[in-house]
Amino acid sequence: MSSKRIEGFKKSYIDAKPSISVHRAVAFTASHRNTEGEAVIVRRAKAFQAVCESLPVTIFDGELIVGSAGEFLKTGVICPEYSWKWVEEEMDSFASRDQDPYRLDEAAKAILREKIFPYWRGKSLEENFLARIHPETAKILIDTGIIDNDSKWRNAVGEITADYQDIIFRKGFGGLKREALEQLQSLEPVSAEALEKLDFYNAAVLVCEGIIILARRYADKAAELARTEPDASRKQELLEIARICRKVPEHPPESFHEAVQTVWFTQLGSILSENSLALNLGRFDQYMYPYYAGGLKAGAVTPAAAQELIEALWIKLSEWVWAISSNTAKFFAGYNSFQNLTVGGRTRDGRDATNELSYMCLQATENVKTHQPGLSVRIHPDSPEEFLLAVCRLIRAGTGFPAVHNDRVGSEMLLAEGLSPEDARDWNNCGCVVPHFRKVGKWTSAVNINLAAALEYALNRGESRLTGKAMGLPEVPAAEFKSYEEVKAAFFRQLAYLIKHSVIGSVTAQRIHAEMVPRPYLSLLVDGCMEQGKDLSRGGAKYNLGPVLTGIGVADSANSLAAIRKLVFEDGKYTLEQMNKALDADWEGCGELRQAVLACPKYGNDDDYADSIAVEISDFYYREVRSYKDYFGSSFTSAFMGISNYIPAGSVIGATPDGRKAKTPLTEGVSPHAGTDLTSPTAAMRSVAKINHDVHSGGTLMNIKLAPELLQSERSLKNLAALIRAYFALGAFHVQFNVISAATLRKAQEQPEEYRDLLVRVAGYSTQFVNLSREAQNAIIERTTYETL
Amino acid sequence: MPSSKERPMKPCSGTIFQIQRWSIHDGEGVRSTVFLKGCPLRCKWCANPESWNGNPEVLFFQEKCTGCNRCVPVCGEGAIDPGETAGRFSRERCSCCARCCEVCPTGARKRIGAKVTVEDVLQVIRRDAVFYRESGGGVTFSGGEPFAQPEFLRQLAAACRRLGIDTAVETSGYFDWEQVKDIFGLLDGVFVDIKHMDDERHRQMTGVGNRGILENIARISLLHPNTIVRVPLIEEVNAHEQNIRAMGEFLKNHTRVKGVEFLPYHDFGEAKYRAVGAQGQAFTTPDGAKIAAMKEIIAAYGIDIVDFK
Ligand code: SF4
Ligand code: SF4
Ligand code: SF4
Repeated sequence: MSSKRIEGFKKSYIDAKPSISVHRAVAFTASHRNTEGEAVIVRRAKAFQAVCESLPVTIFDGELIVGSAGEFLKTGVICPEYSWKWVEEEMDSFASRDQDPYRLDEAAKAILREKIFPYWRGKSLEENFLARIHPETAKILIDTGIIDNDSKWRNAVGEITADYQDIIFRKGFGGLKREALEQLQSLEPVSAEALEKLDFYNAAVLVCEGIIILARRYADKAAELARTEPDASRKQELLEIARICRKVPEHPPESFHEAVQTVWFTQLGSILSENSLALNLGRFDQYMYPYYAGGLKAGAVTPAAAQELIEALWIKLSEWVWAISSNTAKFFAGYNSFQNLTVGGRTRDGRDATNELSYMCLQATENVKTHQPGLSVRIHPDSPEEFLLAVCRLIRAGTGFPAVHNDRVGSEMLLAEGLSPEDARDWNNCGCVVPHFRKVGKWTSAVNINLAAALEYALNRGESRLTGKAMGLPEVPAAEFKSYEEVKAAFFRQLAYLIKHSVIGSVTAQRIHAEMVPRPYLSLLVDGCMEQGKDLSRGGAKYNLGPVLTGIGVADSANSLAAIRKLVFEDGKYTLEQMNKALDADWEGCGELRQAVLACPKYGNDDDYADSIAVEISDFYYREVRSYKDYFGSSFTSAFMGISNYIPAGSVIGATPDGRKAKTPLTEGVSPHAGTDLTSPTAAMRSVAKINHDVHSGGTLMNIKLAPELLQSERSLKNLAALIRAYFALGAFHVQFNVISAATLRKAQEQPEEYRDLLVRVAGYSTQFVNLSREAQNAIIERTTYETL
Repeated sequence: MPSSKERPMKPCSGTIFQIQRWSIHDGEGVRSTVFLKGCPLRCKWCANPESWNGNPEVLFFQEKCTGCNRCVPVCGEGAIDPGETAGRFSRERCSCCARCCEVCPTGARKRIGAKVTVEDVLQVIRRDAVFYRESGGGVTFSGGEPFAQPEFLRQLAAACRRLGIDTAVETSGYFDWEQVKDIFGLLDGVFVDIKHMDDERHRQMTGVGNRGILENIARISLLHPNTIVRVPLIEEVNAHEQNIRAMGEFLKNHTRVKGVEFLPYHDFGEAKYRAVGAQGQAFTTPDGAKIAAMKEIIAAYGIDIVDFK
């Protein structure tokens, strides 16, 4: 149970409707009007400072941790510098749209229309990207669902882990500002490099001042509220808040409360700087532990008080909503902002790192049931059994959290990317399931690539089955393929083509980001930038790793190839022509063939016939992706991970030879396709573990749905723990569980009002079930439940 | 050189109807349950009537049959009667070639059971070895009546032993002790049923008397420290005080069982009975209070109540 205060926050949080605040956009734009001609990084730093100076300062009733991105309890902010067209086009339907609606009042709309959009016309990232992207690439990249990197030109990147351990908690923004000033003293603008450094450090000073100003304004507000507060204990709290906000994040925190407030201010600064997703909290239990242990010893904090502060932070992280276009919302459903927080795992020197805070974070998620942070755990062979059982208990609570990760494989993935062994042991998750580290600069979700499209083009002369448009490479009619090997080769050829254009889309976006949208604030949170005087977007991080290209539909492609191999080339029962006709007809009138394909071996049943094809596809994908280098010379990285991308990706693909109907969802990550893994969870896990997870350093994702009846006894929890350990012993990276009966979900569809706090795991993350579109809800219900076993 | 003890036994085969992986209610940990086909009993509440016949057989689900008659011409034995009574099935003629099952579009005809070798079974069960290891699980032999195929069971259990895989058996207790007693040395756990304490009632409800079964339970439990008695609890049959007291007396005085697990009866549905050409009968699940009362009676004899939920 949470404290009364937290229960109250939770209630008002659940009741609040997401609303868009325009203050950030107004201040950011006004500043830009006054800085024409200055260096872009300095302009962006000035604009950030202007936002910090003018943003409404709101402390909600009873709050302990303060700071809000706008005036609403659930605020979304608009960043027109990235993209504003979608806002202009969609803002009248914000309130009514199916996935992730927002409120936006008429006065705010008028401001946007009159003051904001006109300024950014022709200047936004989106417009520049669209003007510069190669036309052949554009054909398959722009709003097609075939290859998709819209989040890299309609939105900011995010995808960083703030370094509290070595930067923020050690130096404070005051310390960072001093460092920048020192650098400026010794620099003269005598070389191109020095010019860039001067701009960087000037910008650094401005953003440090900005965030300190914002904190001080909160201090003033708290003091002001304290003056009129009738309740003595609340008054005391407000005075304490005022004291803390005058101290952090300018100076390093010294107490647990100060440290939590520092984390939130740092996070708030990130949100205001670019409204992006995957601003990760990293290894919270590790960097917070000294404050907790020290506070306990000194009597400055109690476990209950610390728990309350953690839960207050959880609510803060959930309050701001990521404002995105309806197209993007299809891929990232559920107001999800992917602020990942990782607990457990090992220390930098390889010992078990689990501590009391690891457990308290699990407890916080169970108590508040918010969809943020995205709680991840790292499990290794020496993780305490109690910890894994606590994890299983949280799984049983049905929040979909935590995402459970194989500690060792995470390290292996980063070692392969060139991290030092100590740094590789110190990893955290980014977004959903991407292994990451706080000194890394990397686009962890650069492009989504639709594998089922490659198969469609291979079988359909390079054309989309739904639109008839030529999308892939030209291909001979399917009837001319003489062998399974030829079909497979065509599939790989088409896939390589999609990968190539994804690379073009990525490096083009990287280049434009470096020119147009440097990240002066976030660059301070990642090691390497300050030292080199180089922005994150220009490769300033200690480690620059290649962008992640995410494959969608491994299971669908493998099952389809298995059916073709078996029915056409082995049994000879059907021809490819017949198959193609059935696909064109979306299986109408082809019941017999559909029965036959449904009866073919399916990935996820521990049957090598289909599983080996999935392995072959994923290995090919890895090699192909890896063969390209990004804007900074780093090799691209492969991944098979979730997000809700498998739903829109499926909506643009016709029927597939595995028996799937046109436009229905594909499959998330490396999971088996919904409803086809009928053997057992152990068989599904063995199938998934056959994939070489260690090479896909952008992460792999596996979803399993379990009925709650299976987890009621302590004995069954131990079995779940064993299932996880065994799965990890097989070398797989990640697993997550949805423990909700299909019946409950159907009830929630009928009576959403009564299930507003029902959290489900969408793919790499959890969100409120009732906030998902009907389509996404149905996809979740359909996932196999092993309830009858 | 392999010693004579390690020499592989003569290849042996048996009939099974399913291997269920991730079986988590039949003993410790994550298990695979191998269902052997064939049972000498005919319990009126049996949930697996397809396990009775010791050979592979074709199940016919009448309610799924649309009368399309596709099955008729493919049957070389004339086992399927066309016309008015489309789909009518004479089991005596059927050779179980399964050709009809392949053409049936609705799944109304389904072959159940297969003759397999020990090695075939091992290939499936060893796949989950890592899950057994992590969970303390293993393999459970169930049925049907596993001891009805003693040599097959012996070799399966011995093979698991060699691989270090934990073994358990679920049995009705109806077997010739002398013929199978050595197999208990290859098993890590035994689940044995007591369906009723009264010999006559037992005969009525299962087709056989209980004397031999009770004798066997006494022998097993004295030999095997890990013997658990399972009681299918059925309102109309055995869930009454007198019967449960008699059971407590017997277990206390004549056995050394480790515990008793009550398994409240659950309705299995008529369909499977008709599919094998038998008549089903519906029973009632005792309510929670009744189950608790039965448990108390047993516990009062100093016998542990266990469960594998
Ligand atoms: S093929 Fe199937 S549905 Fe058709 S008559 Fe035979 S049993 Fe009935
Ligand atoms: S299994 Fe063979 S013999 Fe038996 S009914 Fe079907 S087709 Fe006839
Ligand atoms: S002993 Fe078991 S398998 Fe045999 S008839 Fe009775 S319940 Fe069915």
